[in-house]
Amino acid sequence: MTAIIALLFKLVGVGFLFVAAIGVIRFSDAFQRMHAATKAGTLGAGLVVVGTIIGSSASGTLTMGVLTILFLLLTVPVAGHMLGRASYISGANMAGLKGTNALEGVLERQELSLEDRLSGISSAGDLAAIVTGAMPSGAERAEGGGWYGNLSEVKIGVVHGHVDTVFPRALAIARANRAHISAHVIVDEKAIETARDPQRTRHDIRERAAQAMKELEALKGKRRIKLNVVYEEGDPAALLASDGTPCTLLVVPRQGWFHHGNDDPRPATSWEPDGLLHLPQSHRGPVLYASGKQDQSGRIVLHDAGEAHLEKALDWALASSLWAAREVVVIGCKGDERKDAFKAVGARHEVEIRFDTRGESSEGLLPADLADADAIIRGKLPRPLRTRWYGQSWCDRMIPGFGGDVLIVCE
Amino acid sequence: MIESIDAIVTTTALVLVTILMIPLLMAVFRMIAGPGYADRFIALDMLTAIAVATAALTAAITQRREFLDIAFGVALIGFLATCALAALLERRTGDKQ
Repeated sequence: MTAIIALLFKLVGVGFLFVAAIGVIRFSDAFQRMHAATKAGTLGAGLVVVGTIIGSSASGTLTMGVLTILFLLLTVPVAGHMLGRASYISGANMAGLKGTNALEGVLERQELSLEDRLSGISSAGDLAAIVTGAMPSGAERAEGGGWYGNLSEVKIGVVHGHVDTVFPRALAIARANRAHISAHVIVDEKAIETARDPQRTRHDIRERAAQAMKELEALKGKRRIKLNVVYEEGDPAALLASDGTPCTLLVVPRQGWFHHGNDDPRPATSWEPDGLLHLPQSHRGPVLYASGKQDQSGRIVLHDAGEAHLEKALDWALASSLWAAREVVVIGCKGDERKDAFKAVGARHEVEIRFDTRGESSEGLLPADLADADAIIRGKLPRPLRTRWYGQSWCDRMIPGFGGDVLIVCE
Repeated sequence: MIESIDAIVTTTALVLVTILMIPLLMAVFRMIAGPGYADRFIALDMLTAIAVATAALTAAITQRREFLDIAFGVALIGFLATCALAALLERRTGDKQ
């Protein structure tokens, strides 16, 4: 009799294991498979062990069998919980599950699953690009201009003496967008070649670059940041350039250059490095000239000179939350259709759009009462391409006394 | 009579072990096919359960209780493996550094 009962237990147990295996095969995502494997699997194994205990006459079987079952019952829920939690956090696919996500905001969940992350895809935008074969760009901004996608890379142009303004800014932007961040310490070869004493200049510039790197390290401190520091010598414009995929934001100071302040007077030139203002031409993507402005006014000036891509640029800048913007003042906007387009962008990001009819003055200056703005967004660079022109810095040539960031977005 | 029941029990247990190879293969398929790491770890969990059952059945076939110790050991290792793999899954960020 006991033999038959034992046999029955074993049969049912194997049946449960079978059902569990079918569940593991057939269910469509990890969480449902787990539901099959842990519950039915444990029950099956437990029942088989019970059957063995009943059917066995050997001494000691009972103790060991009961221990095994107890152990299974104790550990499987724990292991299942751990594995489920880990799967959720690691971003495992749960497309097969319906209903609301009860863990939303409770557990931090990775955007991509581990295998996608290991294969080098860095953001959902990239994934969409691979799936659709298109360049990374937001769904509603898909047409034209390849780089207006999710910001996925932030490059810092490290210039001696300006690290403390640029680095925290770039870090904040990278964090807000979950973008990769890399710092580029560059020594400008051209500055060395044209110097009167190339060898000494090279030595000095390298020394200052090393200082900038130390500054960077000190600012980074003990924080756990995955910061990729690159040291290079050559043409900074070429070294910093990117082809626009993935979307790369270049963050540089408003002044200074990669000669790191070492402007050995060159014969027959009034040396003032203007390379900084040439960067938006070589770099496909936005360039942010960071100012380190502390008091936020929440106001952003959009200087509209009729560039077709400016609307997308504003959309991108607001979506990447470069500033805590409350109000965007659009200057020089002509045409109702264009105004409506800007208004639509503002409404999408819940930012007030105000149109300033005053326009720029004959010298190209914007109204002085906008000097407290957090940033100016421009579709092209202010002419002439000189960081200083008749003793005036290029930022003062846009708005006198302007202390905010400048975002240049060239087509 | 008793011998014949014993023979039936042993044979049935043998048949059951053979049948258990099918869920085993299914779990192995899931482990190979994936597609995600989580799926593979769950397949491992499943394999552990099947291994425990197989060990218990073998104990019945051979009439040696040591196989139950093996079942216990396999369950223990399975639990530890799942915990370790879960920790791995949770902490790996995917950055190649």
